[in-house]
Amino acid sequence: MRIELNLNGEETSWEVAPGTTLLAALHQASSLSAEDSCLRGHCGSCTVLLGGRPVHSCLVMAARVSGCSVTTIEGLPGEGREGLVRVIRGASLEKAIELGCSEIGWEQKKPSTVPHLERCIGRSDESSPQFGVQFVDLEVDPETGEVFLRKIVSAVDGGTMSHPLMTDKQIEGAVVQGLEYALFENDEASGPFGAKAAGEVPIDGPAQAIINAISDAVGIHINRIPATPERIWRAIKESKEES
Amino acid sequence: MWEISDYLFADSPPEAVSLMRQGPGKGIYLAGGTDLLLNPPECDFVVDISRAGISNIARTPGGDVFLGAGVTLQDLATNELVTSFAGGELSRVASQCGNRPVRNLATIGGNLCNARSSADTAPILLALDATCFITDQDSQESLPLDDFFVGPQQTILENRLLVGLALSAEVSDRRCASSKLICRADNMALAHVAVGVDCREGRINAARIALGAVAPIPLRATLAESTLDGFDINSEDKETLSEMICDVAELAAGEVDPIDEHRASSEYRRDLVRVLTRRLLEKVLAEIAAESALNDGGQS
Repeated sequence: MRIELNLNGEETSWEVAPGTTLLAALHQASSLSAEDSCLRGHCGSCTVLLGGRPVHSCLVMAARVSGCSVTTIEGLPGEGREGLVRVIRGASLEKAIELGCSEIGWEQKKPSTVPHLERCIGRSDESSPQFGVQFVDLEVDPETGEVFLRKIVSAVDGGTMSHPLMTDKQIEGAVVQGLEYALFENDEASGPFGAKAAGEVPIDGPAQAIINAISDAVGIHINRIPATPERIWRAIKESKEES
Repeated sequence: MWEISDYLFADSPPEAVSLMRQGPGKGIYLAGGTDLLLNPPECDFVVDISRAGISNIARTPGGDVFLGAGVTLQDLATNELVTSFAGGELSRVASQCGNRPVRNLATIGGNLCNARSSADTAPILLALDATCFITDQDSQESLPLDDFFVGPQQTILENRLLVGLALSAEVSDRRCASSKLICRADNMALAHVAVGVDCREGRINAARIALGAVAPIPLRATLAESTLDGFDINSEDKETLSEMICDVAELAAGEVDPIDEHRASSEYRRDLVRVLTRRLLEKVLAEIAAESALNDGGQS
C-alpha cells in the first residue's frame, strides 16, 4: 500500500506492506536515525515525533502515519541535566571519602574508620592500581520491600582524564548499570597520556553499598542480588518469624 | 513482519464494526498498538480506529465526563476535565503508565479491551463506577465496567467496539487513591489497588476497593467494601478505626486469587493487596476526617 507523509519537513511517499512498522519502513526508505534495539517500546532508541509527540516507531504501524508528520532525530535541534548519580572529580582517596560523606549527608569519617577500606582499593600487577568509592543514601519500605534510592555518590581514580565530561558520563552510566544489577536485573597497564579506566571500576561498587545500606535501614542482610522487593519482603518476614 | 493482507481505516464506530464483520477472514481492531504490536496476533486484516472520531473527552449536559475509547493515556493525564474529576486520581494513574512515548499512543480503550488483569486504568475506573458504551453496526449498549471483563484477556465485546466510558457526575467528588507495585523488567503491575469513598456527614455511603493483577480479571473486593458501608468515621476512636481498616484490608486480601509466576509469588501479591488496601484506606479516611473537621471548624 502507498502512504504519504511529511518526513522531517519534506513531503514523502512510501510503498509499504500492510504489516510494516514505522521503524521498518524508515529503515527501508531512508538512512535516518531510528535504531532497532528492544523492539518492545522500552529502550527509546527508535523514538520519533509523530505529529510532534514522541512515540516508539517500533510500536507504530507505517500505515497509521499516512497523512501525518514524522520527525526523526535529524529533524531536531540539539542539548543536559542533574540526576541521581553524582561524580566526584579530582580527589585523593581521603578527599573522595570526605567529599562523599558530605554529599550524602553523613558525619565525615577518616578513611581509617571506614570498614574494609583496603578491599576498596584495587591491587593488581596487570592493570593500573585504582580506587573506587561508592556512597548510597536510600529508603526501604519494610512492608513491601521496595527500595527508593535517594542519592549515589561515586569517586573513581580514573587517572588523567582526556575528556572530563565524558569520563563523568562514563562513570554515571557504570553506576546505573551497577545499581541495576543490585536491584533489578536477573542473570547477567596505564593507557595513553596516563589514562587508566573509569568505566569498569564503578560498576562493582553500587551493589555492595546498596546491600549494606538496606541492611542498615531494616536490619536484614540480603545475600543474593538483585535485591528485589519480594526478596527484601521475604527476608524481613523470615527475620520477624525467627525472633 | 506482521503477516496481514489489509490495513483499513474506519471513519466512525459503526463503520469499524461493519468492516470488522465484512472480512474476509479474521480482523482485529487497532487503537494505540502499544500492546498489540508486542505480540501481533494471527489475523488477516486490521481495522485502525484511530480516525473513528472516538478520541474526545467531553462533559455531558448532565455533568458526566465522557472519555472516548481512543483517548490516549497522555491526554487522560493532562486533560482538565480528568485532572479535576474526583481529585484527579485517574490522571495520576495514567501519568504513571509505561513511558511518555507509550502514553502518547496507548489508549484507555485499548488498555481495557486487552483485558489483562494488570490493566493499569482498570482499578481506578472500577473505583469510579465507570460505565462502558459499546456499539454494534446499528445498536448501542451501555453497561457497568464491572461486567466488561469476563475472563483472562477476554471481554464481553466479541466483534463489537468499545466507544468510550462515562464517569458519573455523582462520583465527581469521590475521595480516591490508588497504588501499585510493578515488575521493573516490563512495567507490569504485581498488585494494584484503587479505593474510592463517598461520605455524607461523616458516614460512609459508598466504598469501592478495586484490584488489578491479583486475579484472572480486574475486580472489586465487594465483601471488604460492604464492611465499610454506613460506617461513621467520626464516632470511633483512632484505635478502633485503625483496627477496622486492618480488618477490611485482610478481607480484601482474602478476596483475590493471584497467579504464582516469575514476576512475583502469589503469597507476595496477596500480602501487597493487604498492605496497599490498608494504606490507601488510611489515607482516604484521614483526608475525609480532616475535611469534615475543617468544615465543622468553619461553622462554629
